[in-house]
Amino acid sequence: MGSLKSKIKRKYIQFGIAAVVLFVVVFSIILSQILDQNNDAFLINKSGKQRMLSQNIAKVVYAINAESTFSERQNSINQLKLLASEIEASHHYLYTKFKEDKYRNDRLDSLFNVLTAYLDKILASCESVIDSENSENLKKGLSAIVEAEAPYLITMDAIVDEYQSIAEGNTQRLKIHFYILSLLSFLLLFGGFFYLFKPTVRQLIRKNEDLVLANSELETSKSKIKKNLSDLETLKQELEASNHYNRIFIEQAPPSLAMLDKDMRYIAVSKKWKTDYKMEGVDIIGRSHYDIFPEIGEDWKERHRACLNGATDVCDEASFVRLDGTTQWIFWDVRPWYNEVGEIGGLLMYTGDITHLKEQREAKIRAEEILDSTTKVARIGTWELDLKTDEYTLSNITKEILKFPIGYEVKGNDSLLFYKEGASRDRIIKHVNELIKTGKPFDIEVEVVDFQGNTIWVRDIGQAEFSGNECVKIFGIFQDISDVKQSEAELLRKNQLLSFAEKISLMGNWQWDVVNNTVKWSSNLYRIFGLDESEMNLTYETYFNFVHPNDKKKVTGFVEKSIAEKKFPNNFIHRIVTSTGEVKTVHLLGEVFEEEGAVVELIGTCQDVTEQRLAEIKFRGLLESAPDAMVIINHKGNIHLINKQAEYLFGYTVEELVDKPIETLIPNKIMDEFIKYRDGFFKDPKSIRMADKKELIGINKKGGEFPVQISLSPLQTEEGLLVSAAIRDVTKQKRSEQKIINTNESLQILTKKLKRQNTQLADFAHITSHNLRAPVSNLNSLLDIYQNSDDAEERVAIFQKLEKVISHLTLTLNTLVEAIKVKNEDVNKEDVYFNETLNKTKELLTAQISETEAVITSDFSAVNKVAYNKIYFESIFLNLIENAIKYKSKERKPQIHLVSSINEGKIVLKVSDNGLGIDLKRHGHKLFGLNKVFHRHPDAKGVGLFMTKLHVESMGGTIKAESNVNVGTTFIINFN
Amino acid sequence: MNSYFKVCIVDDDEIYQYTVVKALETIGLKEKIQVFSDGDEAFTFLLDNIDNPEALPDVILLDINMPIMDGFQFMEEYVKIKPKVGKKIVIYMVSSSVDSVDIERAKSISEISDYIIKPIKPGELRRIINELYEEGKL
Repeated sequence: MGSLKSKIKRKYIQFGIAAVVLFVVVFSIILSQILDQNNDAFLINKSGKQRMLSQNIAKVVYAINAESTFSERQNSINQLKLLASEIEASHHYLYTKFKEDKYRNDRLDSLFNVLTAYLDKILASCESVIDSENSENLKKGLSAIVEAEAPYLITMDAIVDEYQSIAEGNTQRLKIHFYILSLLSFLLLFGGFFYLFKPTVRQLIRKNEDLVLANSELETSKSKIKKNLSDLETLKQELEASNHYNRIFIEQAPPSLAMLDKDMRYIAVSKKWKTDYKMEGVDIIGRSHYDIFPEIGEDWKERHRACLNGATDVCDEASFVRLDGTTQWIFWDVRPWYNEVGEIGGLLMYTGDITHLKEQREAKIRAEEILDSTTKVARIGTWELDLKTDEYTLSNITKEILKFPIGYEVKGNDSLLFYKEGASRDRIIKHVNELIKTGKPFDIEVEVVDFQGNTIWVRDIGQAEFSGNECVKIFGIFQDISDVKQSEAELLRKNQLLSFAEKISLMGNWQWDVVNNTVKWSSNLYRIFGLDESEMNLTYETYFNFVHPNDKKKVTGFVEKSIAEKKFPNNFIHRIVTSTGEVKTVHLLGEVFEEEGAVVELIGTCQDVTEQRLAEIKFRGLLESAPDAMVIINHKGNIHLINKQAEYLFGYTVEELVDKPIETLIPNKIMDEFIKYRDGFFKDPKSIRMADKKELIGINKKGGEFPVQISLSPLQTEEGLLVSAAIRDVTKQKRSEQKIINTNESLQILTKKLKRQNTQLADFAHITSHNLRAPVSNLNSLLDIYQNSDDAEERVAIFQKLEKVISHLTLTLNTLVEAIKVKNEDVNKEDVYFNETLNKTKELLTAQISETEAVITSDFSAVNKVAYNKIYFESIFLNLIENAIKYKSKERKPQIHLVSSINEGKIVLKVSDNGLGIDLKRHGHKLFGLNKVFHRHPDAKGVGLFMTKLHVESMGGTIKAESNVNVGTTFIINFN
Repeated sequence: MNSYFKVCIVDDDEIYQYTVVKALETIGLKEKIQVFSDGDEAFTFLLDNIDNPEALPDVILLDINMPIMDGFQFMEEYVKIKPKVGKKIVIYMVSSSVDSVDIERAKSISEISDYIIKPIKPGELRRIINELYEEGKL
């Protein structure tokens, strides 16, 4: 098919190419023929025009001849000239064309020759006409022209005719060619059609044939199916008929029967089957056996397959575990059934449910087993004595109890020897004799000695069998009861122990049957209440009568509450008055028992705690007498007991605090501390004192906090280790302590202040002794000289000097006054800004800065603001910057840099310059002194730094300098 | 009065300079007075003329408070070069300070002959010169 398709494709391509080639060929042939036609028409036309030209020439020649005037003639001659040349050119063209023409024939050739001759004649005549001057020649020429013109015309006509006949021939040829080509094209298309469509058609035909064939086959199979169906129907009917009988037979069969086909599908089942397998009401006919019983395993399926091949499978008993988990015990007989033609048609199953039987059987076995093991466990054996034969038969257990060696037999009389000599043996002999005599059975507990010599307690039961009046046989049961005896002894011993314990702990126990109102007391309880043990009929009232009159109400409340709540409180303590009149304190503990929601019994203990009570009362007295608040804490950190002082201190009552965590009294923030102490204390309980140095805080009921001091000490009690915490409110102590601290602090401040004032005084002493005395001494000296001087000129000079001294003195005094002001003034503070102040300072120093070309830079990014006195702040800036400019190096232009920073929370300003510097080793101590100068500068007065230091210190700050000679100086101001 | 007795005043206070010069003039020592404005200037002069005893002063009246190099600093330097100085120079510390600290300090320096509190009366000056003169002559 594929090859056919590609073949068809190839053929299409080939056909296409052929068609294109044919079209091109036909087109070119037709085109050339049409062109020929065109050419012919042109030639005919041209020839016709030639005729007309020759006639025109004749006309013009006649006209010339007829013209009278010269000018007119000349005009005609010119016309003739034009015509002649035109006819000549045309003729030449025609002739050339004819020469080139492929249709040239002899006839045309000769015609052209004649025509040429006539034309030559005409042309020559024309020339002579044109050239002639006289009419003679003209006339001659004219006649010649006329003469030649006629034949020319005839010849020309002939030529035209000839051309026309050629053209006609050509047209005819074109027609023929067209027909031929049309025919060729048709043939080609026709051939192409066959060439192309033949394979396709062939393909179609083949398919058609296939289809026809398939159709016929279908028809055949259809008829076959029909036939089969009818066969099947018949078969079915037959089968149904036969199965019907089978089914009825099986369904009606009493045993559990099932009939299955070869695919294990149910054909019929009996009613019993359905009940056995709990399939009542389930339509299982036609369904697979394995779908109905998915629990059937591969092993059974294998057996079924074997049966389908002819085997018979019989099983008496097998467990069948159903999907719901139940186990069915079944038996079966599975065998194949054969149809009428003797082939296996399926399986017949006969099964039965024997679960019930099986269970009964097993129950019996189990009962026997239990019985057997029980006798073994209980160690019960039997014995039998035939009095006639004296044959003594013992069961295995009996032999085991007596530890008989294997094979050992004993005679009747000897059997008595096993009983322990003395009471036991006497007793058995007595009972056996009585049994034999009177038939009175016995049931006694006696001691026997086994074969290995061990004494064992046994229970011996004996009965007699009489024949007439004569006892023929005695038999009985023999049970080892040593364990029971041992337990009894143990119980007794424990009871004694308990009794002893109760006696020691002054405790008794009681049981109160609430329903019958009967009460049982232990011996010791009788003793505690001083009641004789012979008093047996105890009731609740017996007890209640002993209760101390003042406690009766409390006890009733307790009892009612514990019955109502079905819970016995553990703090049930009250007083009793014993029969001897003694008052005792008892502590009751108990347990409530109920049945179906109702209290039926109460049991418990009752302890005489009179001694403890007294001790406790003593302890309490001690506790209450303590001057501090006492809080007893148990190991859980809960409050166990507090005294009155603690109640007052914390504002709680005892009930509110007992069993509450100690955290109630100690706030959280210092709890960790306390817990650490407390835990450490419980681990290593030696008396430690908390918060010897640390301050602990207590909290009272209202939430108020107060400082406390806590001492912890161990308290060994019956309830384990407790801790007693003595808590003392130290508010007052704290307060006075704080007072002392405050006083101390203010003293220190005062001392500091005094010290500072002292220093200041010293400073002033220095200033007065130096700076004031100097001008004063000068004044004195000058006055002396003045007085001794006679020279008037000198006196004037002295006076000038006096003035100078006085002005200096005034300046010094002014400075001092200012300084005193600074020291005494309470200055106000405001926010001042570094950058603003610097700008202001620069403005003030504009002249100096421009004169010295000083460069002032600053970095106040760290801090730009300080609360300070504005005037001082500006003065500090001005003095430091002015100094930096004033004491500049001669070699350098001043560069001043100011930087602010925060150092340890304090604002610091550094002013650095590159000026002369100061030898601090030499002058450091008087750097900030009044009138101290270090440079030979005309303006150096020693006031600036003095005032700066005063300003800084008056505000509580400090100023210091770092300097290298001829490198620069840095002033560091700590503004505090 | 001896005419070649030379007095040197070291003090930055020009009024004081003037009064002392006047006082010395009254006792006839006009041409032999040298004046320096601070310790440094005076010390430089001493160093320059250390080998020229003729130029060196006989007496120095030294102030305490001066710029550049004060009286005490001058003394420290002077003590260092003293052995090389080829002349016995008598130094008086002259100050307006009545501060006992200053006085004690001056007294502790053995090179200082005496501590004189300003103002120096012409009579006192005369007495000093006379004493020196007598001692020197003797």
